[in-house]
Amino acid sequence: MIKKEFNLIIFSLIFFLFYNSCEKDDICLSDTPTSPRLIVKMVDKDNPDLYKSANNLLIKVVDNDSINIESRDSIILNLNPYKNYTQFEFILNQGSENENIDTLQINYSLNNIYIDRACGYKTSFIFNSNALTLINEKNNWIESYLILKDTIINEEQAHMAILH
Amino acid sequence: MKNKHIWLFYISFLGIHFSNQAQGENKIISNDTIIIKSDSLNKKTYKLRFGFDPIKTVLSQTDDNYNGIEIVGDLSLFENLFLAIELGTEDKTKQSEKINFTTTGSYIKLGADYNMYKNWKGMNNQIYIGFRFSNSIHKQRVNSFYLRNSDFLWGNELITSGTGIGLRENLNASWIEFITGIKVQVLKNIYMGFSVRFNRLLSDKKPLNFDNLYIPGFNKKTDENIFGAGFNYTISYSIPIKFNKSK
Repeated sequence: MIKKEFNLIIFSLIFFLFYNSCEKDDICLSDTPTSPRLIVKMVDKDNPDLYKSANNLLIKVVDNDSINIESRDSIILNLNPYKNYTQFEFILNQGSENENIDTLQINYSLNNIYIDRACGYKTSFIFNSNALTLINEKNNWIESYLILKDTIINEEQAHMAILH
Repeated sequence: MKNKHIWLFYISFLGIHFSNQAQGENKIISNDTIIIKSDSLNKKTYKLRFGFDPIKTVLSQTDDNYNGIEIVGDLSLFENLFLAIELGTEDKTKQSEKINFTTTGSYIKLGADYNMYKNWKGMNNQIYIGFRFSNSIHKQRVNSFYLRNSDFLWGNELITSGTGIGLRENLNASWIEFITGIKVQVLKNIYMGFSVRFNRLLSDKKPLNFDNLYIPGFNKKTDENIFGAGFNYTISYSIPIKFNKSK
């Protein structure tokens, strides 16, 4: 009798060791919010309330090969979540004689926010006091900038306006 | 070196209990000389059983990411009703889907077991159900994680510093456990047992900018529900203690 029950124990011990080794896979659902992107409005330097798209604008991400971003009056930029700045080349009149390249740097600090077990963390960005600096100082077509939201937590509205 | 200490810890328990037993016998002898024979019927024998979880001990030796001990005890109040306690401490490093974290803490579980198994004469096995009120005090450390990104423009780097990383102290949790298990007498006074536990979290103090993904004694906590499950194995040693029945 004791032996029989002992066998039962050994059996269940082995069973539960295997049982323990499989865990339910938690899946991060695709509609969970991710690290947000920076939304930039292109506005008129004389009247910042008016959208003004730049002619033949091409944007290149510095330190990142062959990433070109299409130009509209609103631009969506991916900020580097592993550094506290990201550099972009804004190329006006791309391909023509009067091509004008402005290299600008977005400065921010990173704040990682916990989502859940499966998705882990996402980043939010907090603009520094000098949120945008121009790297090339001569012949700038970008006049100035405005901060519309000082933290980038979601993509619901524009965070920054570029005056040109 | 550490392992050696753990084993010494267990062995020291045996030593304490053997010496207790010896003292108990002495008392009984001295009592017998002054008690009239009929009074001995008023004596009640309680059975104290204590032991440890061998699986946790083995895992502590073999698994680099786990360190834990659990000691268990129960005391027979009535023929089939036992007061039961589990005390444990755990240090576990876990890699979840995107986060690597370490949970350190201790727990206490207090409750009762009810034996439903009718033994043949001379046998002392148990199939029981029970419950525990449980409490843990713990801390969580986030070691590293991957960010959730909308695309992989900037690659997928492991983050080991910055916001989110670090220790969160002074956390706690309380839960209730429903247990079913067996205990089998394998040698005289030596029992082997295992139990399956369904846990329901009552409350927990959440760490800042993180969650109690693992709670010592409770096990893995899922995001969407408050239920958990666990099991334990025990090897325990039983000693009878005799008391005079209170009048």
